[in-house]
Amino acid sequence: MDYFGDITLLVIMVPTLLVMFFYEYPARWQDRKFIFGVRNREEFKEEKASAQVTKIVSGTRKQALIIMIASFVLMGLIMLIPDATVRMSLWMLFILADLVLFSIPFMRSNLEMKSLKREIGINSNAGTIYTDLKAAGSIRALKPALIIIPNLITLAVFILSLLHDLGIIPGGTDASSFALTGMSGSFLSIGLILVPVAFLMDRLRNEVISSDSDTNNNYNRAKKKAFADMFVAMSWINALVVILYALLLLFMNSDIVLVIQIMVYMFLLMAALALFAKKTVAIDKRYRNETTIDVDDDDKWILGSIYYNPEDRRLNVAKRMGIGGTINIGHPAGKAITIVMGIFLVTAVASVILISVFAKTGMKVTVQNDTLVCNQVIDYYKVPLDDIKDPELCEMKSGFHLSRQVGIGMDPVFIGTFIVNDESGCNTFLNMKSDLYVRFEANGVTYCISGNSSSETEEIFGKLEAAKK
Amino acid sequence: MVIKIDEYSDVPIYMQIRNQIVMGISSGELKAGEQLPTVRALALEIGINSMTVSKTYQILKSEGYIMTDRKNGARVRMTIEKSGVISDENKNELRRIVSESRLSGVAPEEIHKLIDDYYSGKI
Repeated sequence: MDYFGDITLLVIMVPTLLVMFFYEYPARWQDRKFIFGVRNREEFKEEKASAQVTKIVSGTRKQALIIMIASFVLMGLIMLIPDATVRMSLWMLFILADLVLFSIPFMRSNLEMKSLKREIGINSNAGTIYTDLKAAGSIRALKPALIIIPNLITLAVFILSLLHDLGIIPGGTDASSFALTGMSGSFLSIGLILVPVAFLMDRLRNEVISSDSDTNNNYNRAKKKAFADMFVAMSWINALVVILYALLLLFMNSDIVLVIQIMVYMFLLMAALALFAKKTVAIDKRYRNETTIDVDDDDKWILGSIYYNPEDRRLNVAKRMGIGGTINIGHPAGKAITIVMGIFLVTAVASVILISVFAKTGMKVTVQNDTLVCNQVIDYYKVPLDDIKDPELCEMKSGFHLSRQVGIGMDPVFIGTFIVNDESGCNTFLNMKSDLYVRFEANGVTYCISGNSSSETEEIFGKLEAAKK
Repeated sequence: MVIKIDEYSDVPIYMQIRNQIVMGISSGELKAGEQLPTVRALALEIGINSMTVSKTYQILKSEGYIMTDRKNGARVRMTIEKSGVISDENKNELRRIVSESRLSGVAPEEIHKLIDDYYSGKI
């Protein structure tokens, strides 16, 4: 299925952009706690300021809407590109660029809101911290069992599937395909990342919105409950989707199962996020009239999205743009995390470009100095001709099946260790444009090798046959 | 009880916390026997070093306002010793406030009224 990856990314990106648009760029700013990362204040509701805020909000919303529509059009255009490798590389670069681009109106308006604050004479009281002694460190909403149980279920599916793939548990029809193992492993990883994040969010500093401790306690409890519910829901969605995938695999083993699974997952995930967003907006609205203390730390938020406060010893703070928490990059550990994330991002972009270069560079299989050399930018395999046993020319028929264990798998190029027709651990160097491949054994390892076309593959086979004689 | 910390004040943070806890006990916002947050929780909440909060609690303990033990953490004392005298340090502070008020042209009655209001807990 050529467009499987595209459909998956489309199903992920469209709802993500929609949720971001409706959450980050609201039509009604009066009920929001923050307006583009700047704390909403009573002064903004006064006649003159209110008109200016409305103008900024509507202008920004319009820009975000244009970017969102342009993104949808671009996604459609990417899907029209016939070359799968180029398409996937463009998808990766597009996703990274689009998430940044979609945030630009927010960041630009953050500067406008800060300038408006100065214009209407709101003096910053930065450096003032309020703490409620009654609530300090005592408000928790997350019940650990509720988030651990779904992860245990996913872990159980993963272990059972792995044992089945390794042949330790008999039964089923698709042994050693690693399809369910790979999928449940991926979902387990997501679930395991969610657990510490959920605990961190549950231990966030309590906000002081009033001089009345009960109001502060109720407000913080409500906020943390909303966070806890979201993380618990996400963990259960993870587990349910893995179970659904396992059940679907019992009836049909097709790529369509994966598409169904991703669609169900994204639908449930977006529903959970939308519910969370609705809840937090309702909580802020409910407590708006009871808020008597407004802490002004807007200047610590660079462009409303990056928290930089070296005097604050907290590493984790609640986000102002998006959902969840972010790190204080003024904290020593925050600086280290930022550098690591930066390196990770640059590496990801470089990898996408590198993989595209690899995929677009022709594969070469040659015989040099009595050695078979498989090269694509670098030499992958060098096999002495004397070690090659029983070479045979095989056809890639409709039943031909490849499943990656380690390596590159970007259609039409498949290089690395693969499961080939249920045979695990094959050293593979295949171009699917060739209808033929050469299969042989050398030093106890099975090799499956092809040229860029059927004729090139036949030529390689001829050379191996000649060497054998 | 809400405490307010000014990071740019000349008064050290541990003293700001100490003063506000004492005011809270005096006004009744912090009741006798009331549990105070642990050193770690309060430090995390304010975003300061644990040593700062620890120093505050040590001072409050030595002054007889709170009691601490490993099992129950810090609590406001059930009975606070009433010496019936103003400490020399507070007398000096009061003298400074009165002097500055006199220089600013504040009438003595106004100072008396303010002291009465503070003492009775009206403000």
